[in-house]
Amino acid sequence: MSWEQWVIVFIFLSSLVPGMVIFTLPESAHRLRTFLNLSGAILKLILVVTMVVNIYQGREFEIAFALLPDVEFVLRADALSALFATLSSTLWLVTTVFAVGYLEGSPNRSQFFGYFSLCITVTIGIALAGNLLTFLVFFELLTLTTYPLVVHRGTSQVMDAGRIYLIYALTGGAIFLVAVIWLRVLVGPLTFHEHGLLAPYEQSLRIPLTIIFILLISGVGVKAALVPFHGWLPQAMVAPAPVSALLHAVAVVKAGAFGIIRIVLDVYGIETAQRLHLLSPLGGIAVFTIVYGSVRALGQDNLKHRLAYSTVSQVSYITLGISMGGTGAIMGGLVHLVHQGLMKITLFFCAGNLAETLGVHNISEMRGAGRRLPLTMGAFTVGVAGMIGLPPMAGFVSKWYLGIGALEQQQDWIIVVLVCSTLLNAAYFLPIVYTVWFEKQQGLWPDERDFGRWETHWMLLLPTLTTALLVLLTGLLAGSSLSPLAWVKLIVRTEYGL
Amino acid sequence: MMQAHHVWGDQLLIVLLSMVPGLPLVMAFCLLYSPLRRFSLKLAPWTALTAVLASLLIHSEINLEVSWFFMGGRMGLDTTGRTFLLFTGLIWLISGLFGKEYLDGKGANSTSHNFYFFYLIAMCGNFGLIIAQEILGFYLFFGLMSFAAYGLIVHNKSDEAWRAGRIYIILVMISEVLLISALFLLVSKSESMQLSDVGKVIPSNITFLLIFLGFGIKAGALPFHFWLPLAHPVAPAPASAVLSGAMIKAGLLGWLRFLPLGQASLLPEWWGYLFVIMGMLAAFYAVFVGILQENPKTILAYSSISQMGLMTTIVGCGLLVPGNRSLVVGAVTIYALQHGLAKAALFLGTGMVYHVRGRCHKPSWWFWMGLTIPCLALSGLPLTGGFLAKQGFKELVYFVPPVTAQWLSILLPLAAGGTALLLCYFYLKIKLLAEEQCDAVGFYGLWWIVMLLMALGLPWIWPLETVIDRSLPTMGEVAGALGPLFIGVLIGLFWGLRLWKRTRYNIPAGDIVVLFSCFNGQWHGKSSLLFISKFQNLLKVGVKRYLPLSIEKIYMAVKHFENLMKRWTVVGSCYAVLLCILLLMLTYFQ
Repeated sequence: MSWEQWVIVFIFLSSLVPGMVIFTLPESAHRLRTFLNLSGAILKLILVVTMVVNIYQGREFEIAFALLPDVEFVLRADALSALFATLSSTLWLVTTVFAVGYLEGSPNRSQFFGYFSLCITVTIGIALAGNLLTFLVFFELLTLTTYPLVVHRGTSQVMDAGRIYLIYALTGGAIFLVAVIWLRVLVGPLTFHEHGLLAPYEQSLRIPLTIIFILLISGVGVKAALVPFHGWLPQAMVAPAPVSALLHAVAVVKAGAFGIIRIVLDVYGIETAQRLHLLSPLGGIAVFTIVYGSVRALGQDNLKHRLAYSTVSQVSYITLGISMGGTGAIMGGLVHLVHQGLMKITLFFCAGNLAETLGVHNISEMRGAGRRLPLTMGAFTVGVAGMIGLPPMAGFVSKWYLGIGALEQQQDWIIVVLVCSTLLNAAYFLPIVYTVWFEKQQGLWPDERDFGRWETHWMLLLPTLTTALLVLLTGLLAGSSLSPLAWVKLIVRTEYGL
Repeated sequence: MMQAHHVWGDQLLIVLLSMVPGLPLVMAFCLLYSPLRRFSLKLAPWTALTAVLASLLIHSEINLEVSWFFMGGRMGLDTTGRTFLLFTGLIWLISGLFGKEYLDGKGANSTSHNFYFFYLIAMCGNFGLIIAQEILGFYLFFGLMSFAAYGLIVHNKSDEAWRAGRIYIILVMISEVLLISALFLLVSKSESMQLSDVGKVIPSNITFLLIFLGFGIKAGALPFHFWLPLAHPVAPAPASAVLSGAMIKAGLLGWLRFLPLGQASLLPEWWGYLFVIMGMLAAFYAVFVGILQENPKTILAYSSISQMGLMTTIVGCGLLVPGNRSLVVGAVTIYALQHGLAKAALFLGTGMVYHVRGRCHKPSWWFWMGLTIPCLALSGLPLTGGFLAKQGFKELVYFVPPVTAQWLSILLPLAAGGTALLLCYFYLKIKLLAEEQCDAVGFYGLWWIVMLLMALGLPWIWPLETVIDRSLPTMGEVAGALGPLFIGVLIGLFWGLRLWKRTRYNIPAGDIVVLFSCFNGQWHGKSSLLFISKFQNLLKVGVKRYLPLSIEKIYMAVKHFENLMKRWTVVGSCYAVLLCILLLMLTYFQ
């Protein structure tokens, strides 16, 4: 094996091994568990960054072997994988720190962190999957590893929500499985290819390819929370805050969106999908989801529910960008994969801080929280500005490329959608900012805890501030060569030749 | 990095230019950190000095790329930018210094760092948009300024302030989305982000309308002017001064930067007429509504709307004249310069009357003398900046199509008379108010006098893009200017002193906002105009009762649907049906 292959193996092992060891640890081994978690996360980040640098220099990272006869298992890191892998491993590191602080003193931590590590291992698998079958394997595994995290608290309400999550995810997975097998039978190996691999079959298999597309998208669409498959997401909000952050920004929803990207760009190919008239309906669903999610978010008083519906809406920006085709729109969609992750994880960290420090869960209880938690709420404000798409935050960069891309493709009406979405985002986020900063605190906080020097536990505060800073910097320095935007430009230029 | 010469002095100037928006921003964040608070509160207003220095020291046109900044930034100073930076900087500087004493005197010391935080951020935005040379930078700083101004408006935390703030922030959001749509369309047409390129392409009709409305909201153009009379009375005096003097001029600058001025032959005629007509309408409408107001600051807000209307008209002329771009820009710039300084002086003066400090005595005679100066200047008294600005406007009118020119030559003296009337009315109102309240003119009076001097002197000595005739006026010109002024003052005196029986008509501040007020239940205008209240009732019944009801119904239906979808039987059968349909399709088509 070459060293490149070893890098891939170690990327997996860096979270798999700590995860397995943590399962065996006793509950009291707090320090060892934290050490394993953090060292694994840091090691993984270093390895991923090494890989990214080498991909930039033109090296290839690939492992391929036959799992069964005719079932190829391929792990391959292209620039798109690198984007998702970097996002996941970066956010995993901050989420781990946050989770350690958040779950301090709560029961079953060994089990929690064990699954937590498995979850990221699987997510990396999704990122590095080199063909649709490998993708499928990790995609199904993701459901199984995230379910224990969602139901971690184990109350009856939580179990109900967990069951809904499982039903949605397994049904989606089953449909996805059917579609993948069908496609495999029809066209042979499904290795991802820059320009898609279905162009030769376009004429002969028109109808089956259309149906398979619908099945594939509804399979991954469950995880990407496309309306009408979004019902599980607000339910899953009963999970602890770090898990919500993980679901929304790092693993599950992102995996769904990433799946849509892979299917459209690397399996079907933009041109083929366009000629099969598959993209406009997909765009239509994305637009509907964007507006629907925002409208539903308006009516929520529970902060996490509002954030969940906001995710439903925001993740569809990615789908929208991909479905429009054209350089600008695809860039907007791809870069939003990263930007949405950063912004949403910031907001969920803030929600977690509020719950842990003040016992506040509802927006109506947040009056004057800015005075008590200035740094957290500052981060929240940055995240909100990003979500609305105000410059210079990350969200604006995505919106800008989506808008330019829409005009490039002569789809001027998308501008109206972006405008509506911006206004709706402002309508459900700005009142929170107002409540937090300009209203006076009324009565005592529901369940306040004192953390001494800092406004809250430093392990809760640090990740929040880090991601907020990233939201600001990825936007403000979008023109620099280290920004996600620069990497997305590279992907679009080198891989898709657009 | 830099286009010009790599000389020592130039490098220093570049540092200075970056500090213009940078320093206020840094200072704002220093204010948040409590150990540095006292120190930075002292320095806060002085950060505006960088803008004044930059505009005085930078003579050559600087234009440098800051490639790392936000998808490729570019900053620089051109002649227009220099003038805008100068008067904007002066207004921010003097109002800030005034405000320090003013807020201390109000006993609001404990919250003055809040005020200065927003003040500095808005200042950063205002300076930044002037030196930005590409559209995204412009948009960024424009947004920064707009959002930060919210904090200034609601500073007093009264019910009126919250209401004004709410309406303001809604308009800001609308303006933001209108502008971003305009930018999308402009960039996809010009394929360049540089302001110098964008100003040259001919936008489509929709883009043009988006630019008109998007910047019009900030500039107080009809029909989105109503936030001004709501926001000004509730904001502290220095905030009103910068709002009216500096920030609304940003909308004007936006028009100058984004519209293809002086290319009349390539543009549809109605563009120019839209600006001219809306501008003239605003100029007269605001006078009409303004003289029905009681609060002096509201009257000043209406005066600002009226004056901005005149500037809108000048921009409209710019869309009607072929060539002569520099003449247009020059006319707008000198108008903005003199109005900004004079209006800021008026607002600060109003603040001095309002201001109650421990000891109580009436404003002295020099205060009332001083207060007449900006009033007369804005009304166009010869030898003042207002007169110069009106001369510049008149020169421009020669170049517009004859019919328009004819109309304008009739309307402009009338508008000048209207201004005189409104400001005379303001003067009487504030005099009456001072009789009731008492006041102490503190140290900040000094800063007010500085502002007065600037308003008087600067229009005469500041070099402008075009040569506006600044020689002594002829007798004919003097007579032409004094006539409307005299008549306006006369009517104003009659009206203000109630020498004839006043009707009971009283339009609430923010005039047409009563039409929207039914959307929020907390406030109803004290409108005695019957048709307005009728219309309001109609809307209230229509919108307030039925709209939420129907929305509620839809909402319930959606919720019900989602709950249904949660049941696994339902989801499962949906999937099964979907699969069946697809399989049927397959067999059918093959």
